[in-house]
Amino acid sequence: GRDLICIQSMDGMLMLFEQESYAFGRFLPGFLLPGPLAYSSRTDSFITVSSCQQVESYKYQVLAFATDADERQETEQQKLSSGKRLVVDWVLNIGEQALDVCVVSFDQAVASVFVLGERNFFCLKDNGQIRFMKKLDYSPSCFVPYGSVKEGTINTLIGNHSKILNVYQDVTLKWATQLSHIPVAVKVANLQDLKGVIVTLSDAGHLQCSYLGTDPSIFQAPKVESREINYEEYDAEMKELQKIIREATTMQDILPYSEKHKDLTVTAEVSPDLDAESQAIDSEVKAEAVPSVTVKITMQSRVTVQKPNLTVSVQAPLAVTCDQFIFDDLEQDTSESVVVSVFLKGNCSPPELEGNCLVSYNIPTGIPRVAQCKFRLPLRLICSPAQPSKAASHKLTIDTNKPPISFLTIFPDFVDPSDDDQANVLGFQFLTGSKTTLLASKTSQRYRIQSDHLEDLWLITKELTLRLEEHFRKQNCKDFACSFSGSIPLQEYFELIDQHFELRLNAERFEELLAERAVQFRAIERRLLTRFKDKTPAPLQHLDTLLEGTFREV
Amino acid sequence: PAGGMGLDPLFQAWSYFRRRKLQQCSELCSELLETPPGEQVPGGVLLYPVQAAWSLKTRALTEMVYVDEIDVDEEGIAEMLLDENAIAQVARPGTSLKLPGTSQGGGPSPAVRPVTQSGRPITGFVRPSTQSGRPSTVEQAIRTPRTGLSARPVTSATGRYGRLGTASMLTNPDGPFINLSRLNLAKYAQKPKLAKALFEYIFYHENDVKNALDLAALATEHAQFKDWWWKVQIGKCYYRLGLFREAEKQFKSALKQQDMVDTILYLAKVYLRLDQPVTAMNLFKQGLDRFPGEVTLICGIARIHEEMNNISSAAEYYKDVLKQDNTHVEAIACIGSNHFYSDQPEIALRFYRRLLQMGVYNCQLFNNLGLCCFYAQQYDMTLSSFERALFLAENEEETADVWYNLGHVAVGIGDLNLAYQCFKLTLVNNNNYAEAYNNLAVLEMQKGHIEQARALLQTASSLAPHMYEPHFNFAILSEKVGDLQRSYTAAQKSEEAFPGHVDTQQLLKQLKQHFAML
Repeated sequence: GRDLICIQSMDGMLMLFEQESYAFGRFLPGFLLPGPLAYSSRTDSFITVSSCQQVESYKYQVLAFATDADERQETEQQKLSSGKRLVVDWVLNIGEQALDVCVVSFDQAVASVFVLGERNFFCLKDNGQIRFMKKLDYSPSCFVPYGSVKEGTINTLIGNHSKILNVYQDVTLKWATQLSHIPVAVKVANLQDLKGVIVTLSDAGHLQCSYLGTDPSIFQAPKVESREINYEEYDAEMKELQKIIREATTMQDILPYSEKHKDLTVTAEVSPDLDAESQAIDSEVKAEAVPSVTVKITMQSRVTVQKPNLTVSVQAPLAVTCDQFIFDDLEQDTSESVVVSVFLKGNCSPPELEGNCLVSYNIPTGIPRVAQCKFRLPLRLICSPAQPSKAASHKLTIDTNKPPISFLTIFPDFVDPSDDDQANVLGFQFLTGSKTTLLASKTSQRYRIQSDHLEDLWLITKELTLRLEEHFRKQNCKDFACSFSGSIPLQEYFELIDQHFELRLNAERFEELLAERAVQFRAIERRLLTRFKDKTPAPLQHLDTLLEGTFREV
Repeated sequence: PAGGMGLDPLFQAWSYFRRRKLQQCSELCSELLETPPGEQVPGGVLLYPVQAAWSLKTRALTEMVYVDEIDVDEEGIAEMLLDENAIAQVARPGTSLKLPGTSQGGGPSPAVRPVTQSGRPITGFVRPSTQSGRPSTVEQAIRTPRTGLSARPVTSATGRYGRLGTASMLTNPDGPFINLSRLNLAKYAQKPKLAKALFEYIFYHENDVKNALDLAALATEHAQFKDWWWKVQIGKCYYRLGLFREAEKQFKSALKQQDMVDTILYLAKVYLRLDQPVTAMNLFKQGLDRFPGEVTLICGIARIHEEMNNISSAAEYYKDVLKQDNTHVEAIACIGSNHFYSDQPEIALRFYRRLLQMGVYNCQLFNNLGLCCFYAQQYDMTLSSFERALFLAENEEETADVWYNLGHVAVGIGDLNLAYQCFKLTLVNNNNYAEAYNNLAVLEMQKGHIEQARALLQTASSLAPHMYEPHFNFAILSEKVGDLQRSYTAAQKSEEAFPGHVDTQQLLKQLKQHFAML
């Protein structure tokens, strides 16, 4: 008939009172933070969950006669003489902190100890073995087990931090209900005639008595703002929009913008002379001096542009000293210019002598735009004047409808003005070593290009026609035309194509080989990794040599 | 603040922690730790009650960023590259997740249910690791087009884990709470009451797997290898480090000591990573014998079935899940999408409505509702559902999805103009939407704009080579304009993507006849 009270303090002491008189106090071993505490009358023991994340049960008897854990530590020698130490009755490692412990016994079900962990919910037997457990996919806040109507099962109410109260029958979810607050404690109460009232307490101190209603708390989706439908207005708006769409679709968005819309113009200026000091770097050309030419690129902006990004590109084997420029934002009506040098890098003739500058930028509204311009490089960049040679294996004759022009006029950069011989014969020496000769007929309206290599004809031919066209344009002569009447040297052309095709095939084969070797390399790496991960490393069996060999092949 | 109320500040902090007011708890603990200066010995173990406050703070910080490790999974390219755990390169049918085509019946055809990049049917519930399956070879992995949605991190170390790890910077502007490099792990390992909280802090909050592993190894030694919890933690660390065989050993050893749902889940996760779905499934079944009715275990089985293309049995298990827990969102969503793709939109509609009732309120749900309504011929609800979906869309990808579906509806009611505009809007919102490119191309084809259609189809097929539709459409288009060579290559690609497609086979046959005649 006496009341016994046990109080756990923040420093881990259990104080036991018999009625109002203090009986004894005991420190729990391994204590750090207070865990939940419950008394089981069946086993006459206290059950708690310690900071070591295990459920521990202490017999009352043991608690009463044991010495304090802390005292014991201080006087190690006295340990043996001064009575029993505090021994745990049983321990169950649950691997998580617990929120609450509850000891229950109901008429229809086996007596058990319930533990609500932070992530799981356990039901234990009296000897500390797990009867069942359930993984919770929410953060629980409180729970209470209560008697179930079904034989052999126990119902549990678990509240969580999403304001939901779940009703479980053993591990099966039977009911879920929405609360108006986060419960910190829950109990089932009988209030006079009212049985089975769920009483919950919020952390603000509100007590709420509720029952499980059948009125589903259905989530009400918020109403979408609904407008009065005015069909006439809608029709008008629709027509307007359709019109805009039609206009937008007829004006193709791929079309370039007209000149007057341009916010930024880019111009490139190729200097007329080659650089006095060549800027060429890393050139593979075997000639004594690789010349370079300076190109000045200027950007002029009409509005503020953001992050202009300039790219200069020339066709390989030509190269530029720097092909990427990133600028700060350009203010309105300002300009920015950079200087780059172009030179021949690879040891072969370029297919064309044109270069491209491209500026990409954002206008202040965030729309990306591009501006570009082309520039033409001088022929002197890749070849120099040389002694003309009479004999050659490939010849090409161009007919024109105008009397021939002296090379003194159209190739001033290659002809020495004092030498009259060069008026109709001109030799070109490419940096790569091959020679091409240009002949002008004195009587007929013809030019002849000849070389030992078919591919070298092209650049000179192109340059010739361009210069001729330019020349006649200057003289306001509009009906100038070039033509080629002879048979096209298809045979040679096809040979070149065949050669190219073969090279392509070779390249592909090498690529395949590379892929194969890469696969092999990875396979060996994988093997080695497994070997090294082993605690007892097996001999490498020359895997390392294999790895190195494959690496070399790669 | 607590002192004024007459409460022990430590108790106040502890109470904050219980009510999950973690920020306040952490702040109060910091105050507590600052008050007695000089007591904090660098590298040494702290004294009570400083210890208690310290431990509580680590717990609070951990809880702030806690994500259940079981659900976190991200497989980077590098891991797949050097996946030394692969046992057989060619797995027997039904034993591997790597070959999505190994379904033993019951799997829907790609004509009915769209597939992901790896050829797996789209699931009803987005989980990490289901979005993009494993490419079978390195070359494929590298060549798979990378769009904004399917981009995967190069290794998992740089992926999501990296982002989780930055939490310590966010919460503490003046540096991390615990300086790990100055910590004497061996000392802490001998204090089990501190060690467990410290481990969780290092693992979840600092995301420093190496130090965590060191601590766990020391601690398990101190516990004379009798504490299963430490073994599970070591296993988790090994898993993160990619040492799956070692992780398996630890989990198995832990299970021998103590049956735990979490340990079973972790072990199954290891098996799935080792590509042994059958073993994982057996493990789940054993687990169910021990813990009957455990939802996570049943759900695990269902996921495996789904990943192995065995949709009908997956649905059975999802139904079992619902019997245990009828508020399980994943199960409802998966059953719903299964019904939808097996031509029962009315039933799917009911499942989605159930989700809505449970308070799932997002763009995807309304999107699905709208589609179900449309196919179930409840036209009045269709547009308003999509309207809500648009209203709820959180990012441009979601908006793109809604417009795409609206485009479908427009095609269904024959308003091609509207459809055209809807698909255009889809592309405005998500420029990588291969399906929209394909459908736009079909519309262009009908208008007779062959060149446009061709360009769109090429874009679509380069964005999503796993879809057979753009290839097939391209084949048809090329065949019509007489470009038989291109038609043939496209048809072959289409057959590769969907071997069972009858129309492709017919087209191929026809083309072969043509070539034979030539």
